[in-house]
Amino acid sequence: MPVPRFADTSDHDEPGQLLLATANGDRVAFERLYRSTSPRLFGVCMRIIPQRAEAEDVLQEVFTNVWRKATQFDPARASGLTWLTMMARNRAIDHIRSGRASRQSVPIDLAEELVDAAPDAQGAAEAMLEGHRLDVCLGELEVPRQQLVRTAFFEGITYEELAQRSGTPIGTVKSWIRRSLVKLKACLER
Amino acid sequence: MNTPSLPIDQMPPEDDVLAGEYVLGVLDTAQRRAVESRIAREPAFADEVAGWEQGFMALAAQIAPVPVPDYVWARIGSALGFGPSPRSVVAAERGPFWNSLGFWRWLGVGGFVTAAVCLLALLNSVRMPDTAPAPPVVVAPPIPTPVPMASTLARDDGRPGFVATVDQRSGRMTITPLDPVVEPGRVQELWLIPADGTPRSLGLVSAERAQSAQVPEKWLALLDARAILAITLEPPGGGPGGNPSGPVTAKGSIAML
Repeated sequence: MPVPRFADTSDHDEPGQLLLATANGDRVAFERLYRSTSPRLFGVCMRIIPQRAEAEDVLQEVFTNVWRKATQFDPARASGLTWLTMMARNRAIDHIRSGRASRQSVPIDLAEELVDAAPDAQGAAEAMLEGHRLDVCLGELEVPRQQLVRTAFFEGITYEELAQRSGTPIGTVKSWIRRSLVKLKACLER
Repeated sequence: MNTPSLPIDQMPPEDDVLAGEYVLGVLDTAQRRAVESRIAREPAFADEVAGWEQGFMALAAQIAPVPVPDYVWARIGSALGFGPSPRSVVAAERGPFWNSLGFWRWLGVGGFVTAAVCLLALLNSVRMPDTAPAPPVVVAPPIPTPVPMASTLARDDGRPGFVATVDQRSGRMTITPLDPVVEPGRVQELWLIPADGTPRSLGLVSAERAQSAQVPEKWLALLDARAILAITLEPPGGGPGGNPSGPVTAKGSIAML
C-alpha cells in the first residue's frame, strides 16, 4: 500500500489529471473538473467581486476559458488547482479593474487583530503542503503589513485603493508591500 | 545587488518583487498586461510568477468554497455549444439587443418568449376555470396591455419551466407552469431578484395550474430588465425567514414587450 500522499505531484493531482484530459477534448473530464473545483473557484471570485451575478459571469468565463485553454496547462509548472485558482483570480481582478463592477469601500483597519478564517478540509490539506510556509512567513511581518498583504490578495485591489481605504499614503503602502514581498520570498526560500 | 538611492516605492521593482505584485493583485491593468507579456516571453520570469502563485495558494485555500447555482454549468455548456439544444447557440448570436441583456446567453430560449406568451394565452384560456375567482388576464393581441413584461423561467437544461407575465400598471402577475421541476414534500416559491441581488419572495406558486397574484407596489419599480425571476424548491410554507434555501429550478430575466 502506498502511503497516502497529499503532495502536489502530478500523479495525485486530480484537477491536473482532469485538466490534461480536458485538453484532449474530454467533456466528461471537463464536467468532473467543474463539479469538483467550481465551488472553490466561485469562493475566490466572490471574495474579489461581491456582486453575485457578476461573480457568476466571471466563473462562467473562467470555465469556458479552461475548456479552450486547457492545452496551456503545464503540470510541471503548477498543480491543477493552483492553475485554476490563479486563472479565476486573474479574471476576477481584470473584471473589477474594468470598472464594470461597483467597488468595495469598507475601510481597512490596519491595527485590527487578524482573525484566521477556518479553512475547509481540502483547503487545510492544501495549505499544509503547498503553503503552510507562507502563513508562517506572513506571521513574521508586522500586523499592519500582514493586514495589507492579506487584503490585497483576498480582494485583488490596487495600491491606490489600498492607500485610500487604509488611510495610508500610497508611497508607504507601496514600500510596505514591496518590503513584505522581499521578506516573504527570503522566508519562503529558507 | 544594487543599493537603492531612491526609496523602495519610487524604484522600479526587481523582477521577483514585480512577479509578487502581479500575483498579489496590486497592479493596474496596463501593468498587468505588461507582466503577462513578459510571462509569455521569459521563462525565468514565468518561474518567478509560478513560485509566488504556489506560495499564495496558502491564502487562497483559506477562502471558503461557495456553492455554485446549477444554471452556471448550463450557461457554460451553452456558451461552448455543448447543449442539447442548438437553439441556445443561435439565441446567443443574435443582435446587440440580446447580447446587451447578457442573461439571454444562458437562457437559451430568447426566441421562445413570443411563442411562450402565446402559449400562456392559450393555457390561460384552457385553464381559466381552475384559476377562478382570479380576474381574467388579457395578454393576447390586438389590444396591448400597458407596459407588459414577460419572463420565461428556464430550467437548468434550458427548457422553459414557467412563464410569467406582468402588467406593471396594475401590478398583476400571472405565472404558468409549463414543465416545472417538482419534488415530493417541497413547494415552488417564486422570487424576484432585482439589480441589488436580494431575493424578494413573491409567494408560493402551483406546479399544476396558472395563477395570478398582486406584486406588492413597493416592488413594482424593481421589475425591469435587470431583474430576474427565479423558482426554488422550499419546505412547505416557503423558505425559512423569507429567504430562499432550496435549489433554483428555473430562472429567467424580464423582457419588456
